[in-house]
Amino acid sequence: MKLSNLKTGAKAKIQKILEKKEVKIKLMSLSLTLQTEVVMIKNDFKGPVILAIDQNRIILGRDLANKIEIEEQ
Amino acid sequence: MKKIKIALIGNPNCGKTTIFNHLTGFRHKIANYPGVTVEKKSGIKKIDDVELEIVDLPGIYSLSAQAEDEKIARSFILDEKPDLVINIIDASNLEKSLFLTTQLMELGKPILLALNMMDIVEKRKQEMDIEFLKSILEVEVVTLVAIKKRGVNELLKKASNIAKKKISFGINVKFDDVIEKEISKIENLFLDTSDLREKRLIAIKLLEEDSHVLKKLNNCFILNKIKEIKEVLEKKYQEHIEVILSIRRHEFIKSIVNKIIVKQEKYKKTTSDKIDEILTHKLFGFPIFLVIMFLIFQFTFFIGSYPMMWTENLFNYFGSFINYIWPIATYPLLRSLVVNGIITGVGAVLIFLPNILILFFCISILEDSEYMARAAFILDRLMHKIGLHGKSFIPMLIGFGCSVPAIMATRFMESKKDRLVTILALPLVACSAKMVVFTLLIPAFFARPYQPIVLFSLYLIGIVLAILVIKIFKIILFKEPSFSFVMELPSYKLPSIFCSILHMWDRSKEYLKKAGTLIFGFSIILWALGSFPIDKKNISETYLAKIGKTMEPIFKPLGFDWKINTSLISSIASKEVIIAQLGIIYAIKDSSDVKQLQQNLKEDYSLLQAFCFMLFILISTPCIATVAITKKETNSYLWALFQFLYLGFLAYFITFLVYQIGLIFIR
Repeated sequence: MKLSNLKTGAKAKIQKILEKKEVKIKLMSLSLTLQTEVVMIKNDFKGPVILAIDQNRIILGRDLANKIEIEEQ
Repeated sequence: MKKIKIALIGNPNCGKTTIFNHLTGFRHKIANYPGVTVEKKSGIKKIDDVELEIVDLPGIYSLSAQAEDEKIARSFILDEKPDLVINIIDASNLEKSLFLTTQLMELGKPILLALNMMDIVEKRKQEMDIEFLKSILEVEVVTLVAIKKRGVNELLKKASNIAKKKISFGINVKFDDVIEKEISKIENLFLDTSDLREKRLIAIKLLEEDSHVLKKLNNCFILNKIKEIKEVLEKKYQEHIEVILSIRRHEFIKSIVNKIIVKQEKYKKTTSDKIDEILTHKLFGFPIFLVIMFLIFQFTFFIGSYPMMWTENLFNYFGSFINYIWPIATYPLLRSLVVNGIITGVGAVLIFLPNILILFFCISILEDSEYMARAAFILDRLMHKIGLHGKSFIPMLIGFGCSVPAIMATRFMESKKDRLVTILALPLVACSAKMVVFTLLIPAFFARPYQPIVLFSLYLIGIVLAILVIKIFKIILFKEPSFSFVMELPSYKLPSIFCSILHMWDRSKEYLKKAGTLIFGFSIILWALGSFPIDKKNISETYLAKIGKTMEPIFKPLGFDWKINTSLISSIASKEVIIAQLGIIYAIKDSSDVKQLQQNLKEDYSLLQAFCFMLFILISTPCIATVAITKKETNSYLWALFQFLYLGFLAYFITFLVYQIGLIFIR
């Protein structure tokens, strides 16, 4: 399942990040990497999404959310 | 006295700037989102017999050197060789903060970890094993609550102590055996370096293809060798080596964080999340944003008009006072220079200072409350259509104040090409200097109810043009796709009025400096051009008028006469000078009698001409300060020249169209 399809309020674990290395490192520096547990704070199914990683919040563009594969929990 | 250089580094929002302020006693703005602390700021502090020079580096998440601010931080530590790096860490957010720490420790400088925001940790009743952190990383640690000034003195003492003794270097994260074996292979290529830390640093940086290290190394043999090693590793792991190294660092952090904090804080819905449900709502978010923008401009113009009146009166009194005490017969030329040149020139600019202060104050509130990140979220869909993302909107918003800090605020952008495109288009966003000219011209030609609409439409034209220009440049010049949109969303903060005022002052200082230097200088030049030859019969015989008249054939199709032309020449120095210039042309007696000037303009020009004049000012050639900063930030005279020329041609073209089409309708 793609991260961009995760509904607001749902939890998931990151499985795959299909992005270039620079983006992967950037995400890692914000604590988002493989096996990270995330909570979808906001997904309007249009525009960017807001994710929670523990107490942090990050914004991801929709294109990027489309390239991240997750497993809903 | 012994001198010690200290670099202050940490993530955005870790309280770094607050600590910097406490350490140096020099207070300035709090860095709230990537890109605020753009210039390296330094302060001096004396403790016992040592002088500490503390340098505030930009807030960054990693040292991978993709964005300009990461490069600035990395190059500073490698080239300037500080005696100590103080790594400020948000203790309530250890996992994220320590990522940068692992990279910093590889740089081989003494390092001191300053665990800030301990109050949040205490409030959560988390226990933190600081001793374990110290021993596992082999570094010195200080805990503090910066906003309450707790622990700041201890930080200072420990910092000077470590820097003197040269201890606390920290550890290097151990990668797995396969990688370590390859690293030692690379290390062995550098026989002439005896420092083990430096060897490892070079080895890792070479694996990561760090441009800074690669540039210094001009050895084909070593480069080929490293290429081979990389290929072997990447084949084995099916992943880029930089990513693997980062994964290992991250795993290392995760493993120690679990031992440092007993009770981990998991996801919990916060007040900030609840506010965001409204402010980033898919239907209400955008209207709320527009209302906030509208209120800011209302506030700037209507509240600002009162202090503006006071300043205007003050300058009038001052001019009259000089006129009164200085008899006309004594040094008439010098008297004319002081009253008509300097007081008129500088005064005409300074009376708009209240407007600018209010605008910058509002922008500071937006930043300090963290609303800016929400604006980026809301506008992402819109910005996406032109091939940029929401984050790029932040420099544009600052651009309403002044293009110079706005261009500097593009440094956080990861994609060089997006950054360049944004820099090129930024002068189209109507800055406060252009606003100054509009606030003079609009009331002279438009009835009161239409004034806000005209002003708003000018802003809108600027934004629409900026969007179009970005879109076109992205298609023609750079086809490559943008860097994905990733941004931290910090929780809301109650902005401190004090901080916002400091922040505002920081930016307005630039404006005042401009009034004191560029505008002062140009006032004198313009005064001279407008006053000589001395035996002139009236203003139209001066050198200035002659230049303006020579330009008339070119600018006539735009509806401009020599008076407008001369003021356009002066606008290259700075947009505000236009007013001073018009004041001199019309020989306004009272130094800043805006009403009289407006009256004169109204008699000379039609409404269409006035609008075209404003349109040209909005689009045309940026001021000297903008050209200079574009050159500095793009590191190229060519781009600065390109920006200068394309804006000039665009302004000419659009104003030409509007004037000619307008004439048809008027007939």
